[in-house]
Amino acid sequence: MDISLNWLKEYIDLTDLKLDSITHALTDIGLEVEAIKPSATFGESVIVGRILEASKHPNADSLQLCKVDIGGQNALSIVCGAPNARSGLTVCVATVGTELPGGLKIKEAKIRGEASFGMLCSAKELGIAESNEGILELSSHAKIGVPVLEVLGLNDIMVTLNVTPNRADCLGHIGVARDLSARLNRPLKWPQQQLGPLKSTTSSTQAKVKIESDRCGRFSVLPIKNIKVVPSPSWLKSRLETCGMRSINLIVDLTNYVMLEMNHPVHAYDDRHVAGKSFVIREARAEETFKTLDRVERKLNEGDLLICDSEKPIGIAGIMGGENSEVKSDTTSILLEVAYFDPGSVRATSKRLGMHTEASHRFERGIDPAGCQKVAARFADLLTTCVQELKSEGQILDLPIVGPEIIDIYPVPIQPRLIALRISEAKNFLASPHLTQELIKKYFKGLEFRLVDHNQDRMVFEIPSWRVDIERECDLIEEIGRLQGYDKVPLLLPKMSLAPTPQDELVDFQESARVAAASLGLRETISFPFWSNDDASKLRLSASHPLFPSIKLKNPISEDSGLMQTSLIAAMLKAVTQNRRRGVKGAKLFEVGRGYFSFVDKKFDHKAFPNWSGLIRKGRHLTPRAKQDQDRPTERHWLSGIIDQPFQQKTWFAKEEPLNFFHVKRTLESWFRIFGIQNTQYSHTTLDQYPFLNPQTSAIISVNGKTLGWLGEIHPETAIQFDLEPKSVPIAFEIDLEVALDIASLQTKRSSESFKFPPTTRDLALLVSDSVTHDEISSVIAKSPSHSLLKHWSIFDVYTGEGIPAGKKSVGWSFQFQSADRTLTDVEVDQEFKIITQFLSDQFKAEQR
Amino acid sequence: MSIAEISDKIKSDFISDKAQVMAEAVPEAVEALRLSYLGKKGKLTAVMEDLRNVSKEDRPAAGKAVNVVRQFIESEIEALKTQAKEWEISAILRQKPIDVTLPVSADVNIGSLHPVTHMRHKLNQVFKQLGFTIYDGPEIDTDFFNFSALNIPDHHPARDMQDTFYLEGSKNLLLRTQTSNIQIHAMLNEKPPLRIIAPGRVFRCDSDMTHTPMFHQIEGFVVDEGITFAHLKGTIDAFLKAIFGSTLATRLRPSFFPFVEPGAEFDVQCGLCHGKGCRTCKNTGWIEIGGCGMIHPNVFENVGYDSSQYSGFAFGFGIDRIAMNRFALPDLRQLFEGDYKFLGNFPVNAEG
Repeated sequence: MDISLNWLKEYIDLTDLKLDSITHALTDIGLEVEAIKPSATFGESVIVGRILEASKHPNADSLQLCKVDIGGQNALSIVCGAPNARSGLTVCVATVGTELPGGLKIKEAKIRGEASFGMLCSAKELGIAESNEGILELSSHAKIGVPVLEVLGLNDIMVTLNVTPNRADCLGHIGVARDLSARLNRPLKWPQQQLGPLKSTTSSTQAKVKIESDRCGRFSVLPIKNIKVVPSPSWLKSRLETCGMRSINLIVDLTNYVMLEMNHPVHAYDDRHVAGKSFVIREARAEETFKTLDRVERKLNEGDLLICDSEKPIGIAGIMGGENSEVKSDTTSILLEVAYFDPGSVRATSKRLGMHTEASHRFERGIDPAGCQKVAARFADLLTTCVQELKSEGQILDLPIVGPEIIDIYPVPIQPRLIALRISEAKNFLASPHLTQELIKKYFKGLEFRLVDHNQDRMVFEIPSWRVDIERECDLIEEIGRLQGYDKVPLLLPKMSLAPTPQDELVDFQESARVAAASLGLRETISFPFWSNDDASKLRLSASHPLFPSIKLKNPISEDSGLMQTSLIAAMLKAVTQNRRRGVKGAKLFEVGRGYFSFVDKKFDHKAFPNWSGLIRKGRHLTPRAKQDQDRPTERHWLSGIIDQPFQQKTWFAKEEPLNFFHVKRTLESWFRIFGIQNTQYSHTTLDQYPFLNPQTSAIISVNGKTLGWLGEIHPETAIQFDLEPKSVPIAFEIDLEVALDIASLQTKRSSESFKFPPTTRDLALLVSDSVTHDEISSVIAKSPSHSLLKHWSIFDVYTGEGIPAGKKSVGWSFQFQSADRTLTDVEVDQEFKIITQFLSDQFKAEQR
Repeated sequence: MSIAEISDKIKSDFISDKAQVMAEAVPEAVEALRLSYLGKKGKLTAVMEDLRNVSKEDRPAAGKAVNVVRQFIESEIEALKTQAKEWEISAILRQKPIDVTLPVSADVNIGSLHPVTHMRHKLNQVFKQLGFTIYDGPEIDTDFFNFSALNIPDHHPARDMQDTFYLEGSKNLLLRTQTSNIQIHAMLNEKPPLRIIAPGRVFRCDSDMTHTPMFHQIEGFVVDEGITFAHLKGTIDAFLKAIFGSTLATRLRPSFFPFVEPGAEFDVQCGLCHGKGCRTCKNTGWIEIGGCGMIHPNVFENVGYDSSQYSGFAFGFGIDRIAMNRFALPDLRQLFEGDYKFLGNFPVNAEG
């Protein structure tokens, strides 16, 4: 909300205060000053002068020599090039030392041999107009020697306040002045009503009002005749402009002025176009349309509150008037509406129609229902004052005829609230023992709260009708807090029981998961969890797949971010594509984020997607209470990672080496190791369950039959969809962090045995069928009839190619024998190794090489 | 030639061979020398085998002669072995110096944490020191938890303070606009006293140079008997000093959030100009951090706490902006672009 400082000063005396003190006081009471902008574009050294004499410059045809009276003893000599400079003209004189908006500094100068002590300015040179039609001509009434700023009403300062939604009353200058008066302990000067008392009636020949909806709380109409639609006086124009409004004509300007003063939107209808001089406030019917002031045909919803005459709608209540009844240049009589509408109703209609107006902004926050007649009278007073002023300047105008009746329907007058304050509670809550009943009384008197009753510890206040935000004792305590200043409250730390609230392990686990991934060389990224409609098809997900997004936003930022992600893989692939475009090779990224699922409309198909059945668990992040909510979506916590080609870039000491499945498997296994997760099993993915992965080079990871996640090369078709070369695809993984945490907490952390006697090693090369897996061979070794000395076995070579028959592969295994109590002899090692070798040969029909 | 003569000949051969080895100074030559005299097929070994063929009477004298030579060679070899170790070391040290200025790209092995993660870790650490527990909750939530239980009824203009994403096909579900929903989750599930923080992602339907549709907040709240506004101020001051430095002043300004009363915004003195006013603080001398206040009795009543017995305070603020401030990042959107090189600027101990 933009306020004019000059305007504010009409209601409270601030003349002795510097701008800084005023803005600090405003911020300190909760009316945060967001910006300060002076109206002036030039300084006070530009003053009003009168040309006493203008004669031709002896050395230049286009210049004149002027003698200018600026109120001092001697007239100034000024050389001027403007053709309109003539004797008797009242002008703007930039005296020596002035700096004009364009940066021009005025100095004593000799122009073509003639001395000049200043400059006569045009509107453009003063920065107040674009055009440059000679020097600016001021009214002959302007006082010589005073700053031009004052004469033009440009000595104002616009202060932008951040008025919070609870402070409806501060959307008008008087409300702001009232808060300041309470803070600064200075009287608030309400404008005096000049008009005699209006005759309040519920029915009149001048206008009729019928309220048909309880969402209209009050409706008053003040008829004003004998008006003429003329331009506003300059002070009115400049005030509205300071507050960011355009001047239209006297009548419209005054409706805005009253709104900005008293925070009550009013509307003037042209009397001729209100059929039957009758107002009916009713709810809109289905399919009804209406053309508003801004010339837009609005389609109304059933229930929108309308102001109608006896035939047709003439306004949308609290939002905007209609084109059909607006004030025009030939309007001679108006009917002024001052009303109160239900805030929620105005807000709902305003939202539905997408019409946020100055009026709706105020009505939806709540205006003062008790103030309607006062506002109407204020409008009439201002109108009369302006007409008198314009008449005195020579315009031919008649004085308006107000009322004399005001038609006012107020079916259920809103009763003032009474709220009790315990002084002890205020002292305690604000840790302010110095608070006294006297001090509190003073604060609330400033805010115009009426003290209706009190005893030693209790004060009962009647809440003014404009303070819709004051509902309970704590609201009164806040008023005391902000008026005395939050800085008066001491700093204390709470003294509390050390009993901690339980914390779910997943919280810290997620942080550790990040640190572990980073320690393995991956960089953490954070992406927006939205998918476009295409993302699922790029990942080749069918509509029945559990990862197919099921949660859609009603109001997305854009069409291509309308779905909630189920997996981070799309974001990971997009990041790789972007990084490749930036010329980055071998990017290694990870993110800890969520996938969002709803299995309400789409039932989960356990048979078709056994590996995804973990998705339907209720997450650990939900409290027991939240789990009770029906249809609440599920959120899965993923650790997702992607590693791009190549594994090793070409350098002076290493050749380029492509990334393969096993490089990433090593990274992931290291991550598991950090959390003590052992016995991970890898089995091939299938296209129906993991359609975005290449089934030849990807795996499902599980522990004891629980699916932990997946790891693998991106399917070449998905790669193409994400603008990646199908021959050079990244390798990604995604781990369910809740499952990882469950497994990590179940597995006992055990350090491996350490032996002080040296191990003995034997190697073995076997020729086996190439379909035999590592795990198959390893499990057979574990079952060997003799393996008491065998402590560790591992594969060190896998070879196919030259010298190996088709369908076979050569695998090299290394066996380590060790004892806790002695150094083993070759004889006993060879004995056991022989048994193992024989067993393996038998089991796999393998040949030793 | 007699055995003794042969032995003498071997000895003199050895002496010349040894001189050769000494001259070459190749460590491996020592073992070769040993083998050529004392090995299975060595010269002296052959002579010793010949002893068998010597007559019994001559054998002791011949044996003695051979033994003398053998002992001589053995001791010479031992001395050479010691020598060889020195040759080995000097050979290692003789290798050509490498070009130590050749570059290596350590960069590829450096993982990192996101600036927001670094900031959250710092905050979590500060609040854990103050005895707070971390609480998590859903990002997709119901109107009740995000708004109405927080004293923000439907059709209240306070809802305009936050542009909300709603879910299609539901009147009730939305993406949480604030971590304040955790106040309700925690209070419905736990009993006072409570000291809880809740960092997390929040969503608002807003996207431009200075707003992203998703960002990070941290919520904190304390509930117990006898909690006052002074405790709110003290706690805010304590954690702001822990985060931004103990020399900076802090302040509270009256403001409005429907779930607190009195409400306030809290600021920390600008660390660049120390309150004098500069571009960063828009000449105010203060940096706005977040909102706070005393928990509104309506909120307590909404979760079934007795508002005459308990009081408490709550605060919340954005993490992303203070992370930008701390790491001197100019562009908010950069945080969410997955730029590998940019992300490499924040190694695991970047926060120090």
